[in-house]
Amino acid sequence: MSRNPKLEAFLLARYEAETCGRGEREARWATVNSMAKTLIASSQEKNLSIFELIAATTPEYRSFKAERIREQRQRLSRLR
Amino acid sequence: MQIPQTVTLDARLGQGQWRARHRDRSASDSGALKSIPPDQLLTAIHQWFEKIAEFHQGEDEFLILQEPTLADLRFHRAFLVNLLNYGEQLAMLSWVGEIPTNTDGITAATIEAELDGLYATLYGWHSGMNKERRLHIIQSVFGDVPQPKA
Repeated sequence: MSRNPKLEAFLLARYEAETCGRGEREARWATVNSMAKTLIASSQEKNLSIFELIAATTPEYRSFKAERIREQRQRLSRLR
Repeated sequence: MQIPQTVTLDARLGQGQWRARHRDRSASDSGALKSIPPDQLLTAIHQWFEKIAEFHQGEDEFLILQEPTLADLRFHRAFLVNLLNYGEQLAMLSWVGEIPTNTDGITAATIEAELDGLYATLYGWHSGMNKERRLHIIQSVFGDVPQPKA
């Protein structure tokens, strides 16, 4: 896992946007967009698009999401 | 998935804009703008949401929790593009028609938010970004990040 606080926060925002209730989705994606703009503005890659940032972080996102799915499944199996 | 009515997207280049047009098959083929019946539109949107949920379940199983095969990635892209295509048409129909007030709070903005998420998924998994470029972006934006196992 990344364990880089900025990256972790970005991955979490993306995860929440993907998995939240439908009514929250617009606001959650707005958070992802806003966070991405801030990250890009403070980097040396000022012309980067949000989609490029998402593409670049997808392998980290995959690990992040897999961890959460496994945790959820373990919690559920303990409840049963 | 079946689109309930015929939708055509016309490029009105002379006017410098795109227009969504719903063509009613029962009417004369005049190309007049006509909205889809609101209840049909809402049903179609619900069906689309159900397909998206199904898509994400498959994504979790085959792309997130397992190492995806080439076939998994190919299927993922095809399914995703299909959802985007349908979603774009629903978004256009929401513009020319009207989504009825509903208890789920679905509005045109809800559809746009879903589309944003699907486009992010498309770029995330299928942009074809090479490793050097990817690592350069990660380094530039986040600094040092240990890389996940391939």
